[in-house]
Parts: sequence; structure tokens; C-alpha cells
Amino acid sequence: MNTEMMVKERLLRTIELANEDFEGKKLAMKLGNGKLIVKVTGGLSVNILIEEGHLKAVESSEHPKAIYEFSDIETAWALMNKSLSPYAATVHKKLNQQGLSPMNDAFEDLLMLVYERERAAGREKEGNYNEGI
Amino acid sequence: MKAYNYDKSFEMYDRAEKVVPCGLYGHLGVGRARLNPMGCYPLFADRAKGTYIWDIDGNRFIDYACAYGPNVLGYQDPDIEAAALRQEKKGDCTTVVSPVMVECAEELVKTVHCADWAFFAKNGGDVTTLAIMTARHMTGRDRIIMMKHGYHGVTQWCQTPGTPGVLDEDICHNLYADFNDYEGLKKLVEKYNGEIACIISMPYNHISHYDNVLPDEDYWPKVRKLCDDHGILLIIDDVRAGFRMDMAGSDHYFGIKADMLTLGKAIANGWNLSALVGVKKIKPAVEDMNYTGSYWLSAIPLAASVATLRKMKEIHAVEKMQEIGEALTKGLREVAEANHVLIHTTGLPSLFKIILKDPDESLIAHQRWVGEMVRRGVYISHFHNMFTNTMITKEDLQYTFDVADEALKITIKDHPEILIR
Repeated sequence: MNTEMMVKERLLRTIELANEDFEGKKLAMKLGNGKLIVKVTGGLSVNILIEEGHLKAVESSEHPKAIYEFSDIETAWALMNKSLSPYAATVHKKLNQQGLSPMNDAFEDLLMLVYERERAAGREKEGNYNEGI
Repeated sequence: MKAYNYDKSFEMYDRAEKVVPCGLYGHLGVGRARLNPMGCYPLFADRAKGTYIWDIDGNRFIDYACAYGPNVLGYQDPDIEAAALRQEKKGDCTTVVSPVMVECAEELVKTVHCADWAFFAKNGGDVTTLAIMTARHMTGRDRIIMMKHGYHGVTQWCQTPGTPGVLDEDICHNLYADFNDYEGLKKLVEKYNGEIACIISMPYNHISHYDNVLPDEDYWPKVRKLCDDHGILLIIDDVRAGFRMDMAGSDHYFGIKADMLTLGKAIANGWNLSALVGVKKIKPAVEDMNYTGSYWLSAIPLAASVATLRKMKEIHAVEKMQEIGEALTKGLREVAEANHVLIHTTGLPSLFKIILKDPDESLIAHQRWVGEMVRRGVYISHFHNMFTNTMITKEDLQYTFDVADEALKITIKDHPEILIR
């Protein structure tokens, strides 16, 4: 699995965890309602519609409330695996957040929760996402 | 106007990131998108004077964040600094307490409507926590009511579920009401009749990222009566708004008397001090508390506070800050109107909230506009309410309007959807 596929899988896993995991649901309630675009500059994009703590991937990228954008695919994977500080990445413009900050903040917390779950399962960097969390 | 660059700030961040968590943390930090769009905000300051700050790249800013509240009389006000210097020569953090503590408490009792006594600490969270502990001790009840989106610091009890390090047990006695919804609050009180120790609320809703909300005219008197009828203590968290709405307290501004009121920020013009004040009947309960800190009774901030409170009354600082805020918000709305876009200014003018509206209410265009202003020397936060101080001049306001206009034109080019059609 290449890095782009692993990033996309991780994003889809994040949606799943927000909808089904006990801790994930708590964070999902902090997202607020509306559309969040998660993307890599010039690359993949996942549009997530959030309604009352429930997340689903949708086609349309119109009318976002927030945009969470990685500068490149390597940065995305490094941030998702905590090998790059989101703070340093923000300062060096490798991570760009626009729009409603609480939505971006809660999404970032969800990404980190997925990482913790993957780490607990011993597969945080393996790209093996076929089993349940 | 030429946009600033921040080369030295970014170099300093790289040093900071190696030895400080996040590099820059908290409300002045780079996390939680507080300084986005990144590249628009300075990261490190060199000095401050009056209403201005200069960053380490030599850029000057008119600072409408006012250190997020503490700057009321201007940075390095000569009268306040002289009072602090006089006390510094005598001693600050000492084994035996300076009489200036009594002087400061007397000044607060003289000034603040609900204050029969004063307890000093350092940060707002120190005293909101003391207020909650006191209410629980005095009433023998566990539950507290706070407002959704209210902010009372970062101690465990006032954080939200899912926050790292916060247990569900830390917040399991919290009940949440919508600000300005009296009927909803009444229902909550009746549902948990006899179980609620206190209601804690800011005087009005200073919610981040959204328009601020003032209470209906009869909201606070009705809440006061509700508390009295049910043996509930009323705590007004005035850390943010204190001494910017009314020297006698924001509860006084809205025609009520709180049981306890928390103060900080403006209390000492930037010197580190906070206070819990309250009515006489609460004092014995506060005396039972095991609550202290190494620097809470240090003398210099107390001396600075006495000087600040006296000067604010002498120059009618609250009225002055309101007038400046009114001129500022009116001027910004006019700039918006001339550019065919909509700006909302909400809250009290002395601690105004400003938002450039977009059809999706996403704040994406707003953040761009604010960022372009900051890069031209007008420091405004994109998410928080802003503040005025008494040192802002007409020239500062005109500079702000000119920058706002230029920044709006840049923003409209990239975000034509914000134009009113």
C-alpha cells in the first residue's frame, strides 16, 4: 500500500472511529455541524459531512465550514503517526487550517485517537487496516 | 501598505520548539489554529508601550488584543510602573505580608458593588476554582451549573469531556445551560432541586468564533431571584469583562448583586494578580478553605493594582474605553459597508467581537481579512473578542480603518462570495 492509500485509509478509519468508538464519539460531538474538507495540497481530498456527531464521507466539496490541509502526502503521514509535531508543522506551513477552529481542533484530536488505537494494536505504521480497531 | 515579514520570529520558534512544549503554548501559542493564517502573526515580542507592541523583527502593531485583557491603561503606564517600582524597592515575595494587601482589598471593597472582602491569587482560574469550592462547601451540594461555551479557565472541573487528562469524574457534577435562556435554566434548577451549589457565568456570552450575545434586559434579575428562591449561590466570572463594563462589577452593570465575583486581567494593568470578592455571608466559608500559592500575596502586583484601580476611576477609564470602542466598531462597519460586505460587531464596545460574514459562516474569509490586517500592523485575533484600552488615539483608529479597507479589498479578490448582492 503506498503512502497516499495509507493516508486515505487512516482518514476513513477516523470517520469510523468517530461514529463507533466510545472516546471517538465524545470528540465527534465537539466537531459541530457542517462540512470539513481534509486534503493534501494538489492531491487527495476527503469531504466529511458532520451532523450531530455523526460523520459521513460525501462527494461535494462545496460550502465547507473548515479546511484541514496537509502540504504533501509525507507530511500527512508523519503527522498522523506523531513523528512530526502539528505545532512545528503549522508554523512551517506544512499544516494549514482554515475556517471554524473547533471543527479542525476536534478532527485533529480524532486523528490522534486513531493513532493511539492503531499503536495499541501494534500496527500504527504498517498500513494494515483490514481488521477492526 | 507594505506587509510585514517575521523571519526572526520564525527563527526563534525553531529554538523554542526544541525546549518548550508546542514551542509556544496556551492562548498565546500556535496550537488550535489560534495564529492562522500562519505567516500573518508575529510569534515573539520585543517590547510594548501604550497601545503598541513591537515584535523581534521590528514591526509595530496597534494591539487590540491587549494581552487578552490585562492592558487597560496602556503597556508600561508610567503611574502604574512607578507604584510597582516603589514597592519593588521595599520587597515583593516575602515571608511576612506587606500592608499593601490590605490597601488593595480596601480599594476593591470601596470600588466593587458586591465586595465585602477580597481574596488574592494569580490567574483567573485560581479564583473561579476557589469560588466553586466555596459554593460546594457552603451549600453542602455537589452540582454546579455553567453556561455552554462559558470559559472559566483550564482547571479539570471546567474542561469539556474528552480533553486529555480530564476524567469524567472531574466533570460529572457539571450541568450546562444555554446563556440567556431563562426558562431552560429554570427547568434545570427545578429538575435538580436542592442539589445545585451555584450558577457560574460570565456576565454575557463572550463565545469564541461566533457573535457575542448580550442578555435580555430582565435575564439577570430573574436569574438572581431564581438563585435566591432555591438557595443557589450566584458567581459572576468577571475575569475577562471586569473593569471594562463597570468599575463596580459587571453584575452591577446589569442591575444585580452577585454572591461572588471573580476578577483578573484588568485588575493590575498587566501585573499578575487575580481576586475573588464576595458578599459578607460567604466570608466564613472562604475562611475554611485550604487554598494558597507561593506568589499569591506578592506585594508588587498588589501595589500595581491599587494604582490601577485609582487611576481608572480618576480618568473615567471605563467610559473612555467604551467611547473608543464605539468609534472603532462604527468605523469598521462603515469600511465594510463601503466595500459591500457585512461585518458584525457584537458585545460591549470596550470588549468587542468582530466577524466578517460569509454565506457559509465558515470564517474562512474572516481569517484571511484579519490576517492581512495583522500583517499591516493592526493586531486582531480571528477567534476571540478584542479589547480597547485608554491609550488608543484617533490616529490609531484612522490607521486601523485604512488597513481594514486595504485588507478587505485583498480578501474580496479571493472570496467574492462575501459581497452583498
